[in-house]
Amino acid sequence: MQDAMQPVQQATLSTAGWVTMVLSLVLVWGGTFWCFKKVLETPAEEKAPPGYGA
Amino acid sequence: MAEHKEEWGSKLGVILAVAGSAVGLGNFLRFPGQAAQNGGGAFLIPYFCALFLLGIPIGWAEWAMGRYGGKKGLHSAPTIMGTIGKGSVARYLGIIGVLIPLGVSTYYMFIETWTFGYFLKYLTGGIGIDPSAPIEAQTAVANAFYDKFTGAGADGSLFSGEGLNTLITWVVVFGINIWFVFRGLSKGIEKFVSWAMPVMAICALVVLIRVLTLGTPDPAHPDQNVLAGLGYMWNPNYEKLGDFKTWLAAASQIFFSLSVGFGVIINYASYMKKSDDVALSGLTASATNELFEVGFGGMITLTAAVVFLGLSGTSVAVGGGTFKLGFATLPVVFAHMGAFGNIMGALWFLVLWLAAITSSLSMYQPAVAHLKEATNWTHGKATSVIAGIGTLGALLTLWYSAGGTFLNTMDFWVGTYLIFLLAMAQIIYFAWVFGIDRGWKELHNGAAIQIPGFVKIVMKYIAPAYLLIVFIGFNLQSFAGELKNATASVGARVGLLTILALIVYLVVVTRVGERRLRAAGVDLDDTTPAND
Repeated sequence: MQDAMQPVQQATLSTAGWVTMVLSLVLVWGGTFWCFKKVLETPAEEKAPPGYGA
Repeated sequence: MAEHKEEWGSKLGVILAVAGSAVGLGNFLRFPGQAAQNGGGAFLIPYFCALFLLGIPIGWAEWAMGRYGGKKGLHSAPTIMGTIGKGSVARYLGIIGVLIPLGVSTYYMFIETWTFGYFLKYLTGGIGIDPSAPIEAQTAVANAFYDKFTGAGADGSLFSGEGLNTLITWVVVFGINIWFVFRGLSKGIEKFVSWAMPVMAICALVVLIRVLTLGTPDPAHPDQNVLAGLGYMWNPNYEKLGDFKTWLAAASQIFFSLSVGFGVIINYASYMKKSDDVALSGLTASATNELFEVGFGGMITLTAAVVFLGLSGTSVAVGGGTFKLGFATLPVVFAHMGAFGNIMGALWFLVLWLAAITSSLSMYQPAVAHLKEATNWTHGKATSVIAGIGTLGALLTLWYSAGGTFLNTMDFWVGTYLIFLLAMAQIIYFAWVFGIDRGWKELHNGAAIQIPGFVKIVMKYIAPAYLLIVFIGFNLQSFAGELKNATASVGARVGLLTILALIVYLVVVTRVGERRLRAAGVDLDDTTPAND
């Protein structure tokens, strides 16, 4: 830890803090669920549709 | 080419293995500390920029390169990089992809030993902190235990007296690791991570729920509550975004957390089938890492610390560094959780141990694959040699325990500096030598998702430039100081010599392998593209 501590020392979670936290959590939880759902739904031998990677 | 053909048992297996390799102590301990120090919630802006412009694109390149090498029967970073980069320079740069995991394993298993040792301690009653004593006395007990268990007092202290407890714990941890590596990719590593990752997620979820329901445990300190803890971590300080160091810290965190440029992904992907998806697999492994880092690490560690230690106590703990936060501060927090304290402590250190072992298991595999490929030895014989090398390195880490001089030297030069170099080499060779169009096609062969077209531009221009800027900033910030540290103590000098010895070993093995493979007619310079 190189820097001196410069946290935002408030004794509660601010509105901006709520927004940042909720957006970040939605992104990581939602992203992970979407990925695993897609992995589990995709048959093992499925090939890419024509045009992929073109 | 290795005689014994290894393969992943399932597509989920390789995803969990890569995710397990990426999820480590840094997700739970380093990330929250970095965020709190660099603008709280505002840190997430440069953090996610680095994720989408650096981490995921370079990761995709590594997955695609690894699978391409596997099509030619190649499994080590030197031979795969040589193929992608079409020549000896790339091949010998690829040595870094074996050096990093092997070098990091020498000290990572020592840290893993702490997590396992603390886990056992909490299963059997904790580390002796009296919650009714003044907070300074509790912190002193936690620090004393930490110093004793990690051998921080004196070099060689782990080889006698009470230090032997740590040594014995290391033997157990090392033995577990080697046993799984001996069993091979599918029966060992894949089987272990297939249950370890879900167990880790469940345990982390239990700890998270407990932390979020702590409320205001001490009525005498109403300001020490869960919302204050979350505020400490998430309240944004946008002024920090104007500081280059914040962007540097965010990029570094993403980079090291995802294990890109580490040498593991390229090796793991080489065992995939020719038309296995790598696009969705790479994205899923990255997403899983982010879930553990932001979803668990960002919610648990500092929140719990603020609830029991207050804002100022937590600030001091974070300023003390990652290890002190995890192994000296959080035990004080658990001591305040009453009857559940030891259970929470055990669960927490089980999470850390699983995070550590799923990473350490991946560290020997690239070196084992490299040796097998070069010599055509059996898996058991190659694993034995690598385990021997790992033991020598680990014994040096254990011996030079005071101040972590050996550990810090290896961590900076191998576990940090070389990762930048390897990632830069990989993305440049992939996008500019192998060719971005060919690489893009390779990445989409068998893909379960279509990657947006702009990522092509990111891979060719933005990621290398971004990485270069971060690397220059990193050098300006750390290089001179670390160079001075590298010769300041015996442990650090031994660390440098160890790195040199490993480089010599890897060059020799790569040379032997090159001769053997060429004699066998293997196309090491990619004169003929691999078949899909």
